[in-house]
Amino acid sequence: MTRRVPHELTCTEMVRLVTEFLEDALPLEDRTRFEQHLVYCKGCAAYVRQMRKTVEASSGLEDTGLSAEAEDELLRAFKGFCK
Amino acid sequence: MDEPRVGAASAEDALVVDALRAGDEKAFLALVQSLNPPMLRIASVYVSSRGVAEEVVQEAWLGVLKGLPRFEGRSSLRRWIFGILTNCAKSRGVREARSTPFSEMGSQDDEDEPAVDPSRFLPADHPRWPGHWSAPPTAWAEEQVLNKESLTVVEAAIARLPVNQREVITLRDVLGWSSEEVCESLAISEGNQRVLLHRARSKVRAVLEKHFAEGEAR
Amino acid sequence: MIAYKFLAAGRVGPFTGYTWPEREWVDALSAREGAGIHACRIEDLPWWIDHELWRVELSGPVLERETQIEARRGRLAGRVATWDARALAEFGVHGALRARDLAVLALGDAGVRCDDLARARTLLDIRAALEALPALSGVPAEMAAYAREACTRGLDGAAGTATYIAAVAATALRGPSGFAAERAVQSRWIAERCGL
Repeated sequence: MTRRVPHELTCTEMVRLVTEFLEDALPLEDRTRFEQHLVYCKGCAAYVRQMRKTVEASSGLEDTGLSAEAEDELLRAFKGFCK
Repeated sequence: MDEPRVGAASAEDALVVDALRAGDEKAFLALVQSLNPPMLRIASVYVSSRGVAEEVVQEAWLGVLKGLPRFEGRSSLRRWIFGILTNCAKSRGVREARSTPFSEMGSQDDEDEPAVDPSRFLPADHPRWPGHWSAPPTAWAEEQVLNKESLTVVEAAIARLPVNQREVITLRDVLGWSSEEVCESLAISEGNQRVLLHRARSKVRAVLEKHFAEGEAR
Repeated sequence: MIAYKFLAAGRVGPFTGYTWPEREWVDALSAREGAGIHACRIEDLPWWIDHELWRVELSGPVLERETQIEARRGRLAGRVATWDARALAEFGVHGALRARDLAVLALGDAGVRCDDLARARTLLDIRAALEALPALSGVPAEMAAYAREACTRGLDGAAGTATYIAAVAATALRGPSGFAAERAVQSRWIAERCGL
C-alpha cells in the first residue's frame, strides 16, 4: 500500500532507525522526519524514551574492583618484577 | 572517563611508565585500582564467571608487568593495557568454550530477529495506518528504571547477548567509551559498530519492557 | 530575525534535551549542516508543537528548509504566554473538529445522513454521533474512522496526534495537497489563537 503521506516514516521504520537517531548519524532529512514523527506519535516518543532509559540503566551498572588480597598479590608480583 | 585515548601515549602516560619502571609501588597500586573495575567488566564479556574474570585480570596485569620494559608509547598506556586484557580474556573464553556445552554458550548472532515483535505493529494492508503501532509502548515509571532489580535484569540481558553485541554495548553504554574508541579497540567500522549497538540495545530494552510488564501483571 | 520555537516544559529542547538559557545567545554545536539552531516560521508551527512556545532571535544567515529554519546562533526572546496548556488542548480539539468536518463531507457525498455528527459541539458528542452511524464502507468508513481516532486523541490531550490525523484525513479526501493545506489551516489557527 502506498503511503498516505509521502516521505513520512512509519513506526516500524522509527524503531529501525532509533539508534542512528540517538547516535546523531541520520542524514538531516531523515532526522527531520524522525523528529516530526515524534511530535505526532506518542508510541514512538515513548519508545525513544525507553531506549534512552535503557542506555541510562546500562551506564548505571556498578563496576567493582578486585579484592584487597588480589591487589596485594599484584603488588607482590610488581615488587618481584622490579628486582 | 577512563577510556583509552585514541592515539599515542601522552606526557602523563610517560610519567606513569617511568614511575612504574622505577619501582614506584604507589603509582602501580593507583593504576591497578583505577583500571580494575573496567577491566573486570571487559573480561566478563568473554568469560563465564566473575571468578574467572578476576583470574583474567590478574593474568593481564602480569602480562603488563612483563611487557612494560618494551612499551614504546605508540598507543596510550590504557589502550595498551586494555589490549593485553582483551587478549587474555578472549583466549580464556576460547578455552572455556572448548569445555562448555554448546547450549550454555551465548546465543548466536540474531541477525534476523526484529527489534520489536512485528505483531506490535499494524499490517501493511491496514486501511489507514500501515506500519504504525497497534500496541504502542507506554512510559516507564522513573523510579523503576534505575532501581537495583532493573539493573540486575539489564546486566543479565547483556550477559545473554551474542558476544559481538555484548562487546559493543559494554564498551559504549556500560563503560561510556566513545564510538571512535570502540571502533578502534574492536577493529570494526562505524557502521558495523552501530548495527551491533542497535541490536544489543533493542534486545535489552525488550527484556526490560517485559520485566516491567510482568511486574504490573503481578 | 524573529522566529518561533517550541520547547518542552522547563525550556528543554524536545530532541536534544538541552535546557535553553532564558536570555543568552546559544551557538550551534558544530558547523555541520543541521547542527544549528532550529526555529519555526509561522507556517512551520503545527509540525513542532510542544508545551512552551517562545519567540527566538536568530543571528547571521538563516537557512530556510521545508518545515523549519536554521541559524548558527539564536537566543530566546520571550515566551508566548498565550500558548499555554489550554491552547495546546484546544489545538487538539480543533484537529478533531476538522476531522469531523471532513467526515461530514464524505458522508454527505455518499448520501449518508449525519446531522447529529455535523451539529455536535464537543468531542464526546462527536464520538457518540459516530457510533450511532449505520455501517459504512469505502471512503465514508475511512473518514469516519479518522474522525473517531482524532476524537480519542483530542480527548487524551494528544494535540500533535489529533492534528496529524486531521491532516492525514485531508489527504485521504483531497489527495496529496490536502496535507499541506490542512497544516496551513492549523498554523493560522495557532497564529490567531496566540495573537502572533
